[in-house]
Amino acid sequence: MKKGGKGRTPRDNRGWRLLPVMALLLLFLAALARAYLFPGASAAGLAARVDASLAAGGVGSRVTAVLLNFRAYDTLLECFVLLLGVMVVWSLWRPDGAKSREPAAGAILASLERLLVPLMIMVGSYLLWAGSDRAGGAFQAGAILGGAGVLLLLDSSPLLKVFPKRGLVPGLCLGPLFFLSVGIAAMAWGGNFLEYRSPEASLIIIALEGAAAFSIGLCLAALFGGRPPERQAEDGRDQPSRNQGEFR
Amino acid sequence: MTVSPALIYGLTGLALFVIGLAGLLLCPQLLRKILAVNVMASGVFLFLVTIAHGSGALIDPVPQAMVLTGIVVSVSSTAAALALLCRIRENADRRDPSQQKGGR
Repeated sequence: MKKGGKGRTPRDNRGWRLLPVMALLLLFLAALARAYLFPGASAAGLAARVDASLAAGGVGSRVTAVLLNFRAYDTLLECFVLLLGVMVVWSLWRPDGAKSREPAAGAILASLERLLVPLMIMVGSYLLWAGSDRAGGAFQAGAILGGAGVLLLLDSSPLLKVFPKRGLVPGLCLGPLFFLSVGIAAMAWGGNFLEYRSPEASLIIIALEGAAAFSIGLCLAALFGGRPPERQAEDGRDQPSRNQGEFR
Repeated sequence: MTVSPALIYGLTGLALFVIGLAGLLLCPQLLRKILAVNVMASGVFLFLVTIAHGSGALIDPVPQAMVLTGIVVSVSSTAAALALLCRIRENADRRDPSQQKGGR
């Protein structure tokens, strides 16, 4: 952002032109605030309805029940949005374009990794487990796992080799596709798409959450890494030194 | 109407949303636009968490679930936008190499 003001008009001139925009924005804020302060009749919320059907939901946590049962369709699509994000980032990658990031190697980072990554995996798993009856769940666990992946990517840690290169794409797709197939299986069993009820719902939800958290974490790390795996293999053959510092 | 913490949070969320909108409309730099969209998203999240506490003792889990998924989606859309930005920058540098030192 060094030369940020390059295309800008002189400041005094600009101030006057900003005035109507600012006025419009303030009006908009006032309208929003009015809608917030004086809500209409429809503002009752869905808390009572969620509570009423919680027994059929399969989990004790209301947020998890909403995410993975009552509004599972939303969550399914959001898993696919993450996948879509990875596809966009990968398709925009150009091997000759970007200056390769300097690996932020250092003794502190390396030892921090060794200390934190197991802890993050543990906390992520705990959050996944806790999601069934209190705060926690797939998205929180996935965020923490993604953070662990980012930490490893920062200096292209040797720990990354634990994860096989070919497993990346199937791992990214695991959560969304499993979610989708569960939804279709529910149809095969006579329900609607993604409709599962109490006796087997808790097992289904735990399996879904595990797969979703794994894929969410992997997606977040892949978004940070930014390089598709195949091209990296090509890159690595040509210029092995540039292959460091990014997702393998 | 008394001033409750929830009221302050809600109004702050709305204000953040409008501030982000202003940044999106008024900043010519693409990186600032991306940051502005993130500010807008933060405002929306704050607002949603606040209205989850809205009426009565029951906490509405639906807005909370929307915030959870929304955060992850906003991270992925930010990453996609940044990748686009990098690509635009590369193309601009290629077309006009003399500008290459101009920072981003």
